[in-house]
Amino acid sequence: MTLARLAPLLLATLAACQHAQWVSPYSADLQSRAADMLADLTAWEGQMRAAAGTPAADPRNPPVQAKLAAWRGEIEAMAAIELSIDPGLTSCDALAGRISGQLRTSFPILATNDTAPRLNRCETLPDIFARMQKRVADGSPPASGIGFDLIQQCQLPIPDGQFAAALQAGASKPVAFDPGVAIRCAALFEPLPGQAHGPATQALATELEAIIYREGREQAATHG
Amino acid sequence: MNTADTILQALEAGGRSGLAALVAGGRNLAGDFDNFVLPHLGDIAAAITAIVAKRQAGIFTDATAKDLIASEEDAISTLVETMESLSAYEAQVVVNAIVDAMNQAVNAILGFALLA
Repeated sequence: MTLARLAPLLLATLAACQHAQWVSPYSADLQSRAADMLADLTAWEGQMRAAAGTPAADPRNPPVQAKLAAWRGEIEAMAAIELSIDPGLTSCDALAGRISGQLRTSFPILATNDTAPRLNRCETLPDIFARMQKRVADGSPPASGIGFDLIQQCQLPIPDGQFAAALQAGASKPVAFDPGVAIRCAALFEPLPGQAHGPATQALATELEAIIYREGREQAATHG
Repeated sequence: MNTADTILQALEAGGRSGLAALVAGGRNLAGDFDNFVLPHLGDIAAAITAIVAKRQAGIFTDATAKDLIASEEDAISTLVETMESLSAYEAQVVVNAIVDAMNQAVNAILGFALLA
């Protein structure tokens, strides 16, 4: 059967799918891991606010690097759980993209026609783990994420050798070079009154809360 | 009107304008939008307000401010994508409307085009 003969069937299917969505099963593990990471993020934020201007908050401090690495691992684990509870979703999104692309290539009018049916994404939050990984990046290029912000705002203006000596002398001891570093660093973690998170962690907290919200909604749908 | 209110109103107006055509078409999108998206837009507005204030005070560099605001744009995408009744294209339309409104508000407050 040619694509031209298949097209009406595919278009009808796409139209039917326009407002439908596959929903993955509820995962208590995913929800619990997101909640635990949110609690950890909140606690770390308080520690960084208190340590601003000292070697403890410098991105060269091994525990700071270890925290970001641990979150990268945790996010990877959450992504693996999501994949394992419904592996069809990934292939569903890939298939949807291929069908949609093929149709629009074969029928150019679809590419410019706003009323043409569009496939829904197969799951809510399709890119969330990639976004979260970008946020907990260690600051190496491309320059973005908490690691980059720490280099910009919290790195003490001393060379690595001197930093190692300062760390040995006491990670929480202020280093009397530039008192402005403490202000610049703390600003990443200071929330506005009534808010829970500062600018460095707000987006990641929102993403974790979105996972918890989605899983709660799926739990209600499963048990409702 | 203070900076926080200006930014929050811009985000909310962007979201509502992005959804307007869908609502006018009879879609009921109130549930997730009111329950989750709107309260969290408030959190994002507060974060952006803090970023703008600290950039104005010279505490954040342009690079830091841009990266932090980019992370808030990602969070806006995540928020909108929690609305399960939106198609990928519809979600992108809403995200674009919110981000455009946010960029205009931030640039107006700063007095220069930090955000494209």
